[in-house]
Amino acid sequence: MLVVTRKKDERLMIGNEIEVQVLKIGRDSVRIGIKAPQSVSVHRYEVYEQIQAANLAASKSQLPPQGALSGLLKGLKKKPVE
Amino acid sequence: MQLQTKSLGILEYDKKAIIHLPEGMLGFARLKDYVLIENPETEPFKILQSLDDPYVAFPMVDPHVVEPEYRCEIDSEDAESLGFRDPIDIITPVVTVIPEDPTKSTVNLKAPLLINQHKMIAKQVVLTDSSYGTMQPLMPVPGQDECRVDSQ
Repeated sequence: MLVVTRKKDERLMIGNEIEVQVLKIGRDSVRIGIKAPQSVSVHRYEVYEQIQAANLAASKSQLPPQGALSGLLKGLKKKPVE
Repeated sequence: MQLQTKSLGILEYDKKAIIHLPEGMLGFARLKDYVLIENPETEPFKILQSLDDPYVAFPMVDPHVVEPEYRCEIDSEDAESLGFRDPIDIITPVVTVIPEDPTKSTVNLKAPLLINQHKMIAKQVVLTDSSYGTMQPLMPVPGQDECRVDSQ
């Protein structure tokens, strides 16, 4: 991992298009600004990790056998309240 | 066109049915072309089948089935990159995890797939400001209905 020291308001370039700036330095947190082309998505790491894990788990899903599936669906169909 | 898939056998599809994800699904960046398979037998699920890897398929469901009030605020950059003009063009299915015990299925309401059905391009977006979870139960939590009955 490349480690660089930056002061408040200083910037980094990643490649030719991605600009990262330290906007504010607090006690336990830093505020970072990122300028990137539209094609580059920026995510908070924890959220990215969660979604990646959910996608991976989903890709391993097996559609349950027919009977089990119709049982599963009953729970989803809203019955009118009597 | 034809594709041999893991769970759906041989799949016949039209070239017009191909949905292109320029960035892929999160964690699956290399797989960019999919078809969304609708089948009465799997309703309300649709299957998002990768055309690049026959082993990769995601069960998808309309989030309104789980959360009737589901709202998906799309930021202008995402809307632009997908070429949305008219909201009618968009569908927003969410990824479903169906484990061995299907009653424990979960949906990822935080990261819907935005599909422009007109242009057949799509992007999995993260609703950063929403309180939706990445693994919300698909089924009503057991006992909840009974509680409602008691309170009436």
